Formats: sequence, structure tokens, C-alpha cells
Amino acid sequence: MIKIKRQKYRYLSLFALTAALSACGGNDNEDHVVTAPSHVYEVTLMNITQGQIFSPPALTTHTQGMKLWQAGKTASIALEALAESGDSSQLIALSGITSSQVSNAPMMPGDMQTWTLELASTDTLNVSLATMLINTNDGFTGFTDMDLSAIALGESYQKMLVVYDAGTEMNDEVALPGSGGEAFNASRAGDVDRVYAHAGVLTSHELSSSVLLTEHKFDNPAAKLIIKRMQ
Amino acid sequence: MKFKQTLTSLSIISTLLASANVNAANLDIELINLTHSIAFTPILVAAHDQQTSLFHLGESATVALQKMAEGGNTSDLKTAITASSGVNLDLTSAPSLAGLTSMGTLDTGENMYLSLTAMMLPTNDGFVGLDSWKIPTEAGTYTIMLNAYDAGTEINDEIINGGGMPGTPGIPADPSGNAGTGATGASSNEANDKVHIHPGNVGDTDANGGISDLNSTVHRWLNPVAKLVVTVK
Repeated sequence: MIKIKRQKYRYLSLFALTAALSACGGNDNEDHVVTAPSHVYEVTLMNITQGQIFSPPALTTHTQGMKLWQAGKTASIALEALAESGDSSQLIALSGITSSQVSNAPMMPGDMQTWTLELASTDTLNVSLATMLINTNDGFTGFTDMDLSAIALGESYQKMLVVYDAGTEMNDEVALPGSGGEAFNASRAGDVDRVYAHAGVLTSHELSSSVLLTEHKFDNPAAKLIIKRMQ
Repeated sequence: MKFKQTLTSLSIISTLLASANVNAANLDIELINLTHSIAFTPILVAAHDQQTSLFHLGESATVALQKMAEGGNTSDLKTAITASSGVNLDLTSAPSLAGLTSMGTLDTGENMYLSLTAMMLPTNDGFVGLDSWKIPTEAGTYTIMLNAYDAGTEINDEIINGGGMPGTPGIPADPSGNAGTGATGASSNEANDKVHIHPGNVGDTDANGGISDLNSTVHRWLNPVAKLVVTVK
């Protein structure tokens, strides 16, 4: 019993030390024991499409039950902005979002990116990730409202991600930010105004006005997600 | 009380023995080609350890994988599996057409992971794959839906010219007998040089020209392209 307690104490002081070192250069303050992250996750995303670039992905934590989108339901303006322009600034500012990390750069096909999520036991462990396929009109991929508390220490969780269509812009394959076309447009005319599974792109071979090439075609899944609990 | 304890430890021992037996699994393997008209070249099934694989999504293809994905040649993949104490099963030894079910059995020995590859014809470097599926220790029947991958080693020009060697452009053949000729090329760029999800064939409806020797009404697919049924005995 005593042995266990002592071990626990050792870990706690280790936490305190690392937290103090990273926060304020050696000020060994007891308060840091409370704020030290108890849940640390590594979140890895892989772009496994042939030729679709992902806009800088936004990884967020938020209140339990919050969903950045729901299939069959109308998209928020914040999601529409992400899906049409790749701009996640409205999405990460939504009420209920508790923290966010947005990448500096887009992800090229074949790219892999890893984020570290450090959460205290008092934080919600619900996370979402969203990124636009920038050579689509309003296509995006990601996952929403995943509860990380189900992942045990040292274990990892894998999921293959499919492409959704925000339902907010007609797929004319011209108004594509990835090809220099129009990004966000508030009009939802010509689309179904609900989030659905993306049907893919036609390219110029089948839609003469399309600016897309065969390399932009994609099939599901478009991304691979790995979440590993490190601490 | 003492009697009960003995019983408990006995049952622990028998559980341990049982799980030790399960490690050397005997598997029934069944693969169903779900596509409309895409054939599979010889289907390789391999049982291996955690360090070995036939391919990994998101990583560069090995030359052995490239030989399989561009020409259906599995010999280098099999050599690599054998070299790391894995075991191979040639589920088929010749191209099999869409709709067919291929069956076989595999004694995995001590190997705990299962992988599968077969080139998809007609494609440039497309293959159906399973990467390092952990073989369950519990007896039962398990179903896994398999996706089409692109090895990332050849441009998907969709020109059927017999080219099946690594570095030689083009598609070896169309076993379904729907090959066109005279195509100018469906693509001139391979935007992802890692193993990735195949975007699918493009094709056209011009059998004597156009951009592709493939037929857009015949040679397309969506994932999944195969259904794998594994029975752990």
C-alpha cells in the first residue's frame, strides 16, 4: 500500500516538474500538479487520396454531444465556410468549442500529420476534426464528437474516413478554391442543403466545363485516422 | 475451499493450453470478387508476424509490391514472407474473373497477422488488399470488406499495351475481353507516390480511340471490391 502511494507521488512530482519546465522555466509551483495533463493523445491523419489536397485540418475539443455536422441535416454556416473555402476560423469559434489546433499548411496526397492533445481530467474528451478536399465544391472529411475516454492507455484506435458533401454548393467543378475558383458563397441554390455522402467528381472527361483532371478523382475512404493514448 | 482453489487453477491451465493451441490457427479462406468486370491476378494470402507486411497504406511501395501491382507477379512478396518465417497461400494461380469465389485453407503456424494482395485487371497498378489483420484467437467466421489500392508506382494512363514489368507504362491485359485500343492516355500524372486508395478507373465509350482503352460502362468500381470471409477453426 505504502509502496503504491510512494510511486504515485513520484509520478505526480514528475508531472509537476515537466509542467513547470514547459510553462514558466523552473518555478516549481504545486498548482501545476492540478493542471498537468492526465490524458495525452496522439492524433494522426493520413491523406490517402490520389490527388486531392486537404485544407489545413482543424482538430477541436468541445462539449459532449456537440456535432460539427450531422448527415441528413442542414450545414451550419461555419461548416459551409470550411467545406467551400477550407477556412476553419468560424468552426473553431463556435460556442461549445473548448480548444482547437489548426495546421499551418494544407496536406498533400500521401502526407501524414500528427497532433498532440493534452487534456486534464476535468476537460471534456470529445473531439472533432474537419478538413476540406480543396478540389471539390463543398466536399470535406473528418469525424465529429468522438469520445476519447473509451481509448485505454497505450491503446490506439483506427478509423477510415469518408468524404461528405456539405450540400451547400452545386458541384459544378469550377468554383473550386484549389483550382483558383470561387471559395465561399452564402447561396445554397442548386444543392440539397443537407450533409450527405459525397458522390465523387466527374472531371473534364465527363463534364466538359469541369476544371478537374482524372487525378482528382477519389473513392472512399479518403483519410486514415489513428488516435493513440500516450498518457 | 481447497478443492475449489484447485479447480480454479486447473481451469486456468486449460485456458492457457487452449489459447496456445489457437495461436497455430487453421484458417478457411474465401474471397469473393465483388466487381462488375475487374479480374484478380493470382491472389496471395500470407500469415506473418507484426514486423512483416505485404504493403502499408501511406508508405512507398516495395519493388516486390510494385511487381505484383503492375504485373501480378507475387514471387518476390512470397520470398519476403518466407524469409521472415511467414507462410503463403496461393489462393489462385491464374487470373480469376469478376463474380468468382476463391477458396483455400491456411495453417498460420505461429504467425498472428493476415495479409492479402492481388492485382486488379485492367488497371495500371491497382490491387485489392488486406494489410496485417490480427487473426482472432477465438474460433468463428469473420467477414472483412476489402478496398482497392493504388501502389503509387505508375501513372494511370489506362492504355492496354501488355506492359506489366515495373517501370513499363501501360496495362498488361483485360481478362474480361472488353479491351479497347488506340487510347491517348487518361492521365499523365501520379499525384500520390505512396500506396493510397485507388481513385477508380475513368474509361470512355470509344473502343477504338479516346483517352482510355477501358470502357467507362464496364470497368468501373466503388469500394469495397472484395469480400473476405475467414473462418478460424
